[in-house]
Formats: sequence, structure tokens, C-alpha cells
Amino acid sequence: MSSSGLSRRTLLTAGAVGAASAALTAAPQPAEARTYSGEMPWSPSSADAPVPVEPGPYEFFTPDEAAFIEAAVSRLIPNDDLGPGAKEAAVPHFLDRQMLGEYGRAERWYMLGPWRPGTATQGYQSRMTPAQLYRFAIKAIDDHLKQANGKVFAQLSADQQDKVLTDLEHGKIELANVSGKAFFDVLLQNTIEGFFSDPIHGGNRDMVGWKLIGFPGARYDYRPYVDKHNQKLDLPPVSIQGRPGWNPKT
Amino acid sequence: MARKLPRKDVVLVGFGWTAAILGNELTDAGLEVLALERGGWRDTPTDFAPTFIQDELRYYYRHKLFVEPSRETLTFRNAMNETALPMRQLGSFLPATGVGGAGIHWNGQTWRFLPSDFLARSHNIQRYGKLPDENMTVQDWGVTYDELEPFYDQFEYLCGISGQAGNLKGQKKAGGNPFEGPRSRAYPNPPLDMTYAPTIFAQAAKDSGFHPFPCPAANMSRPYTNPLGVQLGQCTYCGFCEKYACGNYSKSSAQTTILPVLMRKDNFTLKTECEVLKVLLDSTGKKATGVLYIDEQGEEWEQPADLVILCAFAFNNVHLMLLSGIGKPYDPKANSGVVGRNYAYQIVSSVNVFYGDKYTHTFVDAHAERAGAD
Repeated sequence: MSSSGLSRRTLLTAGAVGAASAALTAAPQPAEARTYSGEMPWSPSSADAPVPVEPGPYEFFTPDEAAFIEAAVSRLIPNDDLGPGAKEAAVPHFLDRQMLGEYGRAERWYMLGPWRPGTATQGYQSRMTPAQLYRFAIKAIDDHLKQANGKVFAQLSADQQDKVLTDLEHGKIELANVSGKAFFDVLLQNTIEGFFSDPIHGGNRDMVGWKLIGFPGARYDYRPYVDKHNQKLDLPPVSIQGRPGWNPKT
Repeated sequence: MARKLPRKDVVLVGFGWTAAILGNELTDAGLEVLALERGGWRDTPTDFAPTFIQDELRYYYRHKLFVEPSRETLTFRNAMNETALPMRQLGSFLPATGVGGAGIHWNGQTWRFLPSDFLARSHNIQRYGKLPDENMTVQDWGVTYDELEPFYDQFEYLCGISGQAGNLKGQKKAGGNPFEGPRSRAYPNPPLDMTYAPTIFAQAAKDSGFHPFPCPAANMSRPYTNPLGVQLGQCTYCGFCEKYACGNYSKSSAQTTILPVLMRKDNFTLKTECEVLKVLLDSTGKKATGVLYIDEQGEEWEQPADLVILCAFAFNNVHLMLLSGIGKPYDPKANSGVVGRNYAYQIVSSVNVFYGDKYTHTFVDAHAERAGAD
């Protein structure tokens, strides 16, 4: 390698330091351009492990929003003779933390112009992030219901709630400045995610979603089971963080 | 104003499968090679560890391993008379970014074209008569199966593909695909063990007069050392293949087959977080002289090189050619030009089958472990 490679690296490092100090308070820091030659660039203790969501009070949803969400997810995946529902699986908690995070802020999405309604096949073209969609839509739905019969969603009977959700799903409820159908689609999708994704994200409490469908979870090695054709396995589910009783007591 | 860097023999644009393969060949030939990758470095223990890669939300639904539309996206329309709009979030089309490209999150199905696939126009005219529409853009590929066979073979041995030959040097082999083109060698590894669902499918296909075979898979059916001396581990059927990266060194990718050799070479350099903006041409417009790229700090650089090879996804290569004034852009109205012509996204139709009375255990899986029938 020529000596210019070295000065190039030095230059890059200098550039990176300059950028970092100029933007000390800005988050997240952009990755810096890097040059690798003559080595496998691996460093220990740098695994991109997920940060577990801890239990706790709502941080995104207001009390009114939380009441709506708890009621709505309880209708989408109800607690019934098949087992616990979305509320018992902590799906509202999952949704709350999702709204606070990169998904709720649509950090990975392209959210600049041009803005046009688009066709049905052109995908999401709303200016709203998921967090904004939840915030606007929940208020708009409750306002709409209050105007109609004086009660918000959480105060309705289960049958009435089902009717409202069905009407939202089919675009039969006109809301101010927000699409009820778009919200329903996202809420249903996120509820499914919260019920069946790894408990590390705050939902699927006690892995009830996985127990319901017989999914053994984030296991690493199924080789002993490949030839167990059509046999009942009864493997208890495992999360990325293991499961209660998995680790010896310290 | 871009600053000019010292000349390299070769610049590879993008650093996925194609660039890793070419990088290794060209450095073996003694050339000084530089690869420019828009994304970051990624390796198995850091980014795909088996302690956390089995995360459906993070990787499947939140698209952790794919390009972020907030950084780079495209506009699209479904018909010529529509206005193209930005793809704001990823859907079915999942462009890759980062070292290894889409090769880290593919499902590992490793098909060869059938000999007739190379003759998409002439074979079909010969077999079925004239095309239903004179204006169809379908063409023969211009290369034949026989010409590519040695390279299919080389790639399959590089990757350690698991499969069952159906045609070995013209000899039909039981259990393989009888319609495939002749292979010069058997697959380097035997087929993966078949789980229940593909077994049911294969039996049903056989009962209907088809010739089912285990699909060729880039998941190791046994521990494997490839011709470069890189080792891969036996697949554990954990079920997290497509849209995930393998934590077990069991799925072929640039990382698991080439990079441990290529990265250690002194005549190879990789720059990550560097995006090529343009291929630079000489005054004739016919010869590439290097590339212009921008790094993560926003600095622009001119990198002269004797050889410029576009190794990104076809879509990005075409985009770069259009931005660089290379070739004649495809004009669908005039039906002229070649750059961008016939670009097509994969179309797959599917049927779901549910068994109320069987345990299929579809979580026990390698995503390319399937039964197929031609």
C-alpha cells in the first residue's frame, strides 16, 4: 500500500473529529467513512445486541390514549378460552415503547417531499409518522364517537367497539385530517407484532403469543427435530433473553 | 471540488457478492483493488450473532439489515401516465446496503438457469410458435448454459451448495432434477435433510407424475471448507434465513466464503460509508477513467482507476450509468435505448396450505430447504 493511504486515513480521522465536536449534542452521530486493508476488521465486545424494553408506566400514551389502546387491542386479540389476549400480553406497553422509538418517529422512512396522495399501489404517502398517526387518529375517533353518542371508545361495550373497529377497517368512518382505515391497518399490524414478537421488545409477555401457536421461539438448533415428521414436540418457548428458570439462581 | 486520490488498478462499486468474487480474482492476478461501499462493515459475531439474530421484529418487520429509505430511496409508478412518488418505507422490494450486500440476507436458493432459460425468445418461439405480441421485449441472453457451466460450478463449490445432481455430464441421476442442464460435478454437499412440509409436497408431486427434487441450498448440510480454505458450519435449521443474516456461518455469503481471505490481502482496500456518485469518462465518453464518490462526512473524492466495475444491485448500476452518461437510456415510448431496458422485479405467486391434523413444525427450517419440480 502506498504512503498516500496513510495520509488519507489521517485526513479522514481528522475530518471525523471535526464533525464529531461540531455536532456534540446532535444525535445520532453519523457513521464515519472507514478504510480497511490487510486485516479482518473485527473488534471484541462490539456486538450489535438489542436493548431490552423494561416494564414501566406509559411514556408516550396519555391516559386517554392508553384507555383507547387497551380497549382496542383487547378486541383485536381478545382474552378468551384460547388464552390471554393482547392486553394481557402487554401489547399496549409494546406499542408505547414502539411509538417512542425509531419506528414511532419513522426514522428509517423517507419523510420529505414531494407530497401527493398517490394511488393505492404507491404505498404510504402520509406526512405522519406512526406516533403522529396514533396521536391524531385516537383523538379523532374519540371525538367522533363522543359527538355521536357521548362516549369515547373505551366506554363502549365490546360489541360496539367491534362495530367501530370494523367500520374503521372498511373506511366507513370519516375522521378529520386522518384516515381511519390507515390507522386501523397500522394498529392491527402493530398489535400482531406486539403479540408475537420477542418479549425483549416489551410485548408477548410470558411468551403467551408463542404458546398459543406452539412456536418454540428464538432457538438456535433444531437439528434433533428435523426428522420428527408429524410428531408433537411440546418444546417450551425461549426468548432472546432466555426464559424464567433458564439460568441457575445466582 | 472533489480532491483527487492516487490511481488504483481497479475500483469496485459496491461490496457485495459480485465485488467480493471479482476482488478476490483480481487481487490474485496481482492488481491493486479498491472497493467502495455505501454502507458499513458487517461481520457475523458483531452484527449477526446467534444470541440475538432470531428477532422477527427487528430484522423482518423493522428491516434492520436493509437500506433505510430516509438515507436513500427511489420514486416509482405503476403506469406511464402516473406521477412517480417516493418509496417512503420498504415493502416487498428490499434493497440492500452494507458489506456483503443482499447476500447476507438472502434465503440461499441457488439455482442455475435451465439451458432453455438462456434462449428466452428463440426457445419459446420454436416451442410455442410466434410471440403473442410483436412488441414483446423478450430476448435471448447472448450467452449459453454451456458457456456458463464452469462458473456455476465454481460458485457452487465456493459456496458449498447442498443439493442433488439430476444430470451429471449428461447422465441422469435419480432424485435430482432430470430437466436441469448437465453438470460437470455433483454438488459439493449432499441435500439438506428434508423437513415435513416439503416432504408432503414432494410426495404429492411425485404421485402426480412430476419429478420432485431437493432444491439447491446455500445452507450447509455438513461442515464445509471451500476452495479458498474458508470454513462453514453445519446448518442448525433455526429458521432465520431470509431477511436475516446467519449467525452460524452456515449460509454462504461474501462474509462466510471470501472476505476472511480477501480482507487480509495487502493489494486490497475497502472503503465503507463511501457512495459512488458518478463514473468518470474520458473525452471520448467511451472509456471510464475512475469514479467520483462522497464519504459520510460529505467530502467528495475523485478516484482514478484503469478498471471501473459496477458491482452494485442491477437497479443501482443502471442508475449510476444513467447519471454518468453511459450508454443510451431506455425510452419505453420510442422503444429505443438499452440502459434500464427490461429491468424487472421478481414476480412470485403462492398458495398457502393449512393442515388441521398434522404437525408441520415450519419453525424447523432452512429457507432454501424445499422440494421443487420443473
